[in-house]
Amino acid sequence: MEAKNKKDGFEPRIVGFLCNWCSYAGADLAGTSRIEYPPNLRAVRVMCSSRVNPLFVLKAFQEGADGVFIGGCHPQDCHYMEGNYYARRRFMLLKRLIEYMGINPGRLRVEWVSASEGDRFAKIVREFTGDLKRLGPLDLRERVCDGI
Amino acid sequence: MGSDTENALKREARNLLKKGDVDLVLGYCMEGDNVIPCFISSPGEVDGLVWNNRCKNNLAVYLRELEGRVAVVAKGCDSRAIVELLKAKQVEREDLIILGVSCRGMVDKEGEEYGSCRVCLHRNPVVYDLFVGEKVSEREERDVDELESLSLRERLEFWSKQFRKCINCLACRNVCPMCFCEECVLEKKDPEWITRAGDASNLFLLHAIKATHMAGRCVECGECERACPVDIPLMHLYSRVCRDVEELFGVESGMNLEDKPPLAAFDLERDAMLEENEKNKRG
Repeated sequence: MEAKNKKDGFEPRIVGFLCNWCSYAGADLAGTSRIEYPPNLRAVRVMCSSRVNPLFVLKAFQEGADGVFIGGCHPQDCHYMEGNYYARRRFMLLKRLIEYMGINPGRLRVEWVSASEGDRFAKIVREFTGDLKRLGPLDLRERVCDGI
Repeated sequence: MGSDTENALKREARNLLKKGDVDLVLGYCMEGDNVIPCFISSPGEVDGLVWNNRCKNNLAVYLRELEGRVAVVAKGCDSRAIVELLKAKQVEREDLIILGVSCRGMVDKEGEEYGSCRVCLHRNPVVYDLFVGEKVSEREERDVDELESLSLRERLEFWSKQFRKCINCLACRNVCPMCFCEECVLEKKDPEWITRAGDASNLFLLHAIKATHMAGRCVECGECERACPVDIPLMHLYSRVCRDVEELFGVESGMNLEDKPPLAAFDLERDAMLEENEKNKRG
């Protein structure tokens, strides 16, 4: 299945958790500025990057996401003063955990994107999609269940 | 194992109960061939107390449910669990009298030392009110985790194989002194994060979530591994998370009452540097 997908131009599925105040607005700006970026990212708007429970990320992987993106405000720019600092620590740790459990940590990407960085948002999504294409499908459910 | 320590323990326990300093002594006693936790409320029962190399249980798990003043026998890992419970404001320090004892590593029925004890670096209690017996020397260095040398694919295979054995009994959670949430996400029905009727990927998710919850809490007592009916090497996972927390945030759980919970704290400059380093290493 993996080989087939790669040959047919595998399109990675990305779940993106975007903070309401910065990254989501950044994504919005990319859209209104007509900047093209791959449609692989499905955006989920959250009020803050620290709203994202590691559980959401793991669940996304289980349900078939090939990559998870978390976007928050730049450090010192959080709408809630310090939310992104907690998120930063949390996801540093989660990256290490998934790596230990056998999931490439590159499949989890955390970036700080401000509301004015529409072009940067598009660039990051392009990059991430490219990275995931190279990594291939995760197929976590199949691999855990069948031991592929 | 010195019966001197055991006698001293009995003496202290009897004193405390006689003076009325505590309502209950939490320790170990024999039941047939087994050592089990026991709850002693009168000086007359104190003779049943034992201290030997079979006292594996982490007694901290009971503290939240006990009322009144309690004296608790605590080896290294018990005391660290108590520190974590105190930090999480789950028990009151003034309700506790900690009877510290040093541990030489606990063994199972066949006399084989438990995995968590073989790698333990903290055999002496971290906090105590009364110390009984003699201190023991501590190991200095950690063993290398053999799983580290596996490729990503091999690791996923390894853990998948382990978790496919899991019967979702949650014994690992029930026995854990650090698992004290009133409502456990692993059992939540709405939303049902872990689908009970689902496939094995739910078990992978279950253990991954539990590991994230252990970050900065787990005191590596190994109770989860001993409770597991299908022998999943859970300590590997939790120990790894503990090492990660230590390496990243410089906090070892259960060692210091003053430490802030590492995931509810931040250090602006240091974390920015860490982030940069981690990004270079892990993308």
